[in-house]
Amino acid sequence: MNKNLHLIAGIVLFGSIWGLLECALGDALHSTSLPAGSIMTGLVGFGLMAATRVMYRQPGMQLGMGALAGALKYMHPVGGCMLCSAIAIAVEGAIFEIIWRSPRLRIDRLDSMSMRIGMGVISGYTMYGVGYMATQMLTPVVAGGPLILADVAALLPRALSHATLAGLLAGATLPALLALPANLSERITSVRKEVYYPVASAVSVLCWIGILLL
Amino acid sequence: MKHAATRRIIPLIAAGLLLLGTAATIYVQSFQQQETTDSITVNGMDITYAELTDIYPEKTITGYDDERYTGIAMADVLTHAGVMEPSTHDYTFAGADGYSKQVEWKHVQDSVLTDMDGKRIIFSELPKQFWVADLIEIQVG
Repeated sequence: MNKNLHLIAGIVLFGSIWGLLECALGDALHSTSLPAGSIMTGLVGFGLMAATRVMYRQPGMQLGMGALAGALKYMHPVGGCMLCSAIAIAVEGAIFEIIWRSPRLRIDRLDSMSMRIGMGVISGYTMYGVGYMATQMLTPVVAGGPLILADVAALLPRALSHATLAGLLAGATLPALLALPANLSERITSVRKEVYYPVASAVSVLCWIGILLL
Repeated sequence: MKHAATRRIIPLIAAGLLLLGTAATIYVQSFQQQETTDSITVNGMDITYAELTDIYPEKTITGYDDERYTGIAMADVLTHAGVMEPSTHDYTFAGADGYSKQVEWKHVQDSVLTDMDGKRIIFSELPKQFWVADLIEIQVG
């Protein structure tokens, strides 16, 4: 199976699933009093990126997934601040890549529970905190509004505060993910190409239709 | 040796981040409890939404998200607060939770003050990031 094509299909598949979850689950959570952003980052975003890093072991994939999920969120016709969310999602993908860039730091080789929880907390906290601040700076630039750095700096305590829950959730997500059977990821990624590509394409298209209809 | 050091430092960094987050949460919550109020201070004058609706007609605008919103035109709010020559000023909108945004008149002139989300400013030309909720103060700069 062509490795690049296999990877691109994976990016499209999991980026589309992430985008659909952001639009459906994210919007549903936003309409409640639950902390939607922290839940979506710590559970869904980080969970999908960590799972795909274990499955595909390919740095750079999560950057593509974040960019696609962000683009799908931006195209979603209803919901909250699409532009802010889209920027935050794309930035979260980039932050994940930076944190896990070292080839020696492999998610599936975190052997102790303290390392699994610790790296989950660091990842979730940093992804949310940096994503929050980045969207505060980039949204005015993209939307043509005023960028007042004093306003952005004043939001730092909120970013640090809200990131705590995202960190805790990611700290729980990573050990839970690694508790799954070790061969599960290989069974998914080693599916025959006659099955892999049609299923990946069909699920991706269904996700896009879902995003447009929701 | 290096691996052992990493194993020690990662949980410490994680614990440090959680402590930082806890301290930030205490700071944000204490600020919010101090600032929550029913009126909005505009240019140093306390105004309630009910007071505005008694005097000024409501206006409906299309927000940046293409939804329709009804409220009191911000130009009327500023007039009520005695702001002279509003087009020559910048405005800072501050929420009860410390969230604030500075906005130019060109965006303020087409905005409305609504009573949703504890009084919220809605802009037609700026994304929701600027729609400060639980508005407690409008500073005229």
